[in-house]
Amino acid sequence: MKHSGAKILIADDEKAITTGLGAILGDEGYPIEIADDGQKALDRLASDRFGVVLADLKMPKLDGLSLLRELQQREIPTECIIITGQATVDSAVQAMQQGAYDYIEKPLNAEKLNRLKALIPKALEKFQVQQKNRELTSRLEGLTHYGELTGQSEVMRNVYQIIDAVAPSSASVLILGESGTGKELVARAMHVKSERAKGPFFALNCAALPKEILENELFGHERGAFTGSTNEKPGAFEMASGGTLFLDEVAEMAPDIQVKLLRALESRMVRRLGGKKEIQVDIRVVAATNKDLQKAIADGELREDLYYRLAVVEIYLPPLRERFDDMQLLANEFLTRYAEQNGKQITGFADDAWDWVMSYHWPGNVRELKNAVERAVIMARGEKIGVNDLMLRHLRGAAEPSTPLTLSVGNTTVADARRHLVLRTFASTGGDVARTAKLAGLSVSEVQHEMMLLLNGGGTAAAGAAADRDPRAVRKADAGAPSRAAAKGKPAKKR
Amino acid sequence: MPSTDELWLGVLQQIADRTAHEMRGALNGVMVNLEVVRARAASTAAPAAAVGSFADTAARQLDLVMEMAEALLALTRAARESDGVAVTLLRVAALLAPVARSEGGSLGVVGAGPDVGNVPLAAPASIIRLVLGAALLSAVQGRAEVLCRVQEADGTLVRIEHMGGATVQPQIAPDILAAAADADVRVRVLEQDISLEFPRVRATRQRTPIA
Repeated sequence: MKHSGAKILIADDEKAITTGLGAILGDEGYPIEIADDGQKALDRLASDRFGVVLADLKMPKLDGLSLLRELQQREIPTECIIITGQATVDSAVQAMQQGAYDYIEKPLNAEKLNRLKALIPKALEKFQVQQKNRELTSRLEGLTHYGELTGQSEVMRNVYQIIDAVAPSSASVLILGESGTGKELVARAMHVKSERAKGPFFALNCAALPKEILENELFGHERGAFTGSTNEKPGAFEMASGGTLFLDEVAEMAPDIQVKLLRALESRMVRRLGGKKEIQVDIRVVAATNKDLQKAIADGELREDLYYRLAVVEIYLPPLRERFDDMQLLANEFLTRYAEQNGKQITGFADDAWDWVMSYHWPGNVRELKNAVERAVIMARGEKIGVNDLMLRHLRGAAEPSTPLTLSVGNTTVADARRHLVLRTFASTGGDVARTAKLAGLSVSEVQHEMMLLLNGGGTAAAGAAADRDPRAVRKADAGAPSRAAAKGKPAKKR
Repeated sequence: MPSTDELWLGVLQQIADRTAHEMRGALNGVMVNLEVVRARAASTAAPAAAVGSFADTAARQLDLVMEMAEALLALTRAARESDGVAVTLLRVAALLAPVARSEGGSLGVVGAGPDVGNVPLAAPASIIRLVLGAALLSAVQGRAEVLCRVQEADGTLVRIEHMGGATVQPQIAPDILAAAADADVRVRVLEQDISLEFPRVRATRQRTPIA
């Protein structure tokens, strides 16, 4: 134990004692440093790690007791053995009460020095045990966050462990999990922890793009490959070379692209659309899906050989409802983040809000919780978020049945109809632009564009007309509150 | 009013209190370094050079302990008329200089050579010792850098000067000042300096100010 590398600091203004003690303990194999007053000792202890400090009670600048107090206050880890004259035994007892490991009375005769030699290994052992505890505690505390992921539940710690183990390898990884569970964050964490961290991280959502565009995005094209391709364009494989390519919703990929993807994964070579030469790529692929892959394979939607190529390692991300231990942590983190972003003095959630957060099943997972908290922060008027801020607005749209949209033939254009649909869907989702886009079959930017038109007066007449026909439309439109903030993907202000 | 001996015992007690830590420190220095010598001497592999410096340190510490012990013993004994200002001053300084050093200050004496002290003084040795002890005890405080200058003219003048680091004005107990005045010793405290005038003995007992 004594040769474990833990250093000993001798703090005393008596040079004859420090050099002598230094020699005695140095002969025992301990690395020794000397400080000739209390302040210097404190400075050294603050800047370096010492397993044991032998401190004289009476020292210039900072005496032994003050040094001990500073060590406690600053939480500097070390074991302190106080060396004291007989006249100051009371102080030594006081030092023990303040957390000193032990004390040795002067004179430092052979017997006392032998006692000191016996004390030091024990003190070092205690230091090292506590050091391990501190490291373990620190690691466990650190596990509340891993990369951009947040979670301290058992299931998430398992996920962190898998990422830790897999990240340094070049194995392909398939991340499984419901929408909103943070699959891309896992992929990013894996990239950051890998040796490819300095390379690019390139994410591509395979479900968001039509087949032709996806193929073009993946493999790129040469100039003149198709009508309008006036320039050559490298694909995701090339752009992510040296780094990580994240393919989200990989099971949504058309079968013929799956074949090309499989070939690229096996050969590490890609060919641009319209190109003749093979381009070598150095890439790690991390894919993700929220689909039942066994069913997708059985239904012929996903090639089995591609599945095995992608799923060298599988990581299952649990839905939020299975992460009960993380709900408070996540909700509090989102609250702090959005309160800060919106300049609001909100201190936390009311009890009824907590009850609801913990009991709701969160089908949209962490993303839904994040949106709900952001919206609640904006809506909240008090210091705490109440259940009404959180639940009613969040669930209003979802809780109510869908209502028919009535359009009068003859005085409604396609653009009007589209705008009505966006507005009504926006209201029904409680102001969730992303969900509106999904339900309406539009892109987020298209929804935002429609909302901006409404804000600029383009939809006023239409909304008014809708209100004439269906009073609920007005209420819902109002509730949806198409403010500028909402149109930019943020919830509307409370009315 | 307490007697001179009673006053001296009080001063000596304070000096001993402040000196105890330094004496123990020096003794510990002796013991710790001797322990290094002993342990290394027992090892056949240890070269002579590995113990030499520790033996030297132990010897120096022993010298210091002896010097302090001698001074303390001399000051504990009854005052001798043959002990002049310089000898007494050096004894007190031998005890208080290590204290000053350990507190981050210093205490030095100049002009207290062997030729100083031959002039017979009016004040008895017990008063000289009392005044010198009390004055130095009050001057050596915190990180004060103290220098004692001894001059001999028509008597002996001791100037206790603060060269820096002093934070408090020295204070000498009124009883001691009164005892000094009774013995024709002039004690002046000016800011942080102390001046002690010990006039020589005169047959006519007529006082002559020291130039």
